[in-house]
Amino acid sequence: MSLRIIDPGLFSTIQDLGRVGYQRIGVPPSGALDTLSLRMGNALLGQAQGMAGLEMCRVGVRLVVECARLRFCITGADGTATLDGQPLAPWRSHTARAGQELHIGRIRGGAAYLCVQGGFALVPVLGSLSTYTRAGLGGYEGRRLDAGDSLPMALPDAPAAPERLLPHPVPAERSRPLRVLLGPHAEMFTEAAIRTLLSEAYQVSHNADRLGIRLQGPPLEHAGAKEIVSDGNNTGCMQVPGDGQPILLMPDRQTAGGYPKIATVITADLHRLGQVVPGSQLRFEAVAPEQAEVVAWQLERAIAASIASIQDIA
Amino acid sequence: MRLRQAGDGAMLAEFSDRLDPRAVADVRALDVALNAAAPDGLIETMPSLRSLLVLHDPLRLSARRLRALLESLAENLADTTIIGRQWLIPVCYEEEFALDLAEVAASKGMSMEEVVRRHIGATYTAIAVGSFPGLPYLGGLDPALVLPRRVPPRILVPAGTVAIALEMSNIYPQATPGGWNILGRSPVPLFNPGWEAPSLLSPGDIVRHRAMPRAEYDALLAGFGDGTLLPHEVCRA
Repeated sequence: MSLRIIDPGLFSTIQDLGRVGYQRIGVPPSGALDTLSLRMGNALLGQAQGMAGLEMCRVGVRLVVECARLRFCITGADGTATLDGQPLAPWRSHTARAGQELHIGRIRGGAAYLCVQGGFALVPVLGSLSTYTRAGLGGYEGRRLDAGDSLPMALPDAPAAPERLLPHPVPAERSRPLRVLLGPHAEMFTEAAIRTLLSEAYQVSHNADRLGIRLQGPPLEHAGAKEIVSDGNNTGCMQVPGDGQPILLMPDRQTAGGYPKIATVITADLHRLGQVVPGSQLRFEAVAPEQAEVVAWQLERAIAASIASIQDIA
Repeated sequence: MRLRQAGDGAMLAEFSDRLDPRAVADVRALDVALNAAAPDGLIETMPSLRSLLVLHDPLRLSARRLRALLESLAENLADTTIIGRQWLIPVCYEEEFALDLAEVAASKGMSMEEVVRRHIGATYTAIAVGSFPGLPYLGGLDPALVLPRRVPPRILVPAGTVAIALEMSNIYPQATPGGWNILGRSPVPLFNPGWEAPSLLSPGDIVRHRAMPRAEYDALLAGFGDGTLLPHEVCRA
């Protein structure tokens, strides 16, 4: 009653919507990089949006189904998924039988998610199934998957049911600038630095992972001190070390840090950070706090509308 | 108190721009008051050295309402002095572990023995726990040992590393990047999700160090590793 991993891909971990309540003792939230895709995958399977799925970055897994019947779907970045060599459409459910081979392969984007009906039979750590590899917490033995692992399934035999399709995914808006609120330390930077951040493109470096995304572009100049006495970090904040090259902090980040933070990506755009890839160009646009809240509501309404569009495949 | 909005899902309540015992007390008091008020949409709070980071769901608790709540709570902060537990944490300062001891001694014009003597001689208070799981920021470093972080930081320091920077000492619970100046290593585990309190140390705890030889380090490391020793018993002062 498991999924036997033949090839683990590049960095495949179990993630849910994150671990809440332990940042005060240094435990970051972890959780899906692209929470929207995880939520939609679970919604397609008719289950709680926060159930844990398998997150795969850049290259996905190859696995053999070792349970009677598996219902699953693949969401997030487009891939080249196949079941026994037959191409699988994204944004819909599929059913596999014991012995079939599921191969995700190359992922054209950041993160892709394999959601399974009933979820995985794993034990939550500090209230979450999310994997935090640095401290070996949660997920599958606290680490990324390896060849030979057997991911235990909660449901040995998914009940027979019609497959379901999501005809209207939430639009990806890949070309739109990432919206930020300036701060919390915007005044520690020169006015020129703020202008530069909001007008120039920044390239995603190869140093981009679940901890942070290092960007390369015109340096952002500090007005005075280049360091602060450490304070709390949150996901999506953009810290700027002395060299002026910004770093966007991601869910496995440190909970506190000593570099000033020039801006913070708004909550409604955080899921888009899960789909950036090295070499791509990012642009940033400042919005007012009230506007960020309006956008957050708009995204939730778009998600609700998208979920309402889910239908059985005749 | 200065409120800094950190995106639409977080607010940073800052009480000082430097290390300051008054700010530590205020951060703690606001943390207690806010969690007691428990407004709908509060996700979690993270106290650090001089500020409280408040994470909230903007769909349920707007920044405007959170700001007003924090401002009203800050007008009436209670005195929340806490009496921490006392710990004696052994450290091995031998050369193999003390990667920066010679450099620190040279930069301070002291012998290595004197650096160690001063590091052991201080009584530390855990100001905050954070950055990495269970990592304590220990205030109370001997003023003669104050020095900046290393630039650039090391990409990986071993678990148990004991290091100093600014006016603090710390212990790295896991192998992580680290920019502090390394004086030694401790075998004491500081974090375990299976413990009732996963972090051994809490803000307010009092910590002293003692020097130990390599043989004792190895014995303790083995004992903690196989579970025959518990830090809660070995290190209670």
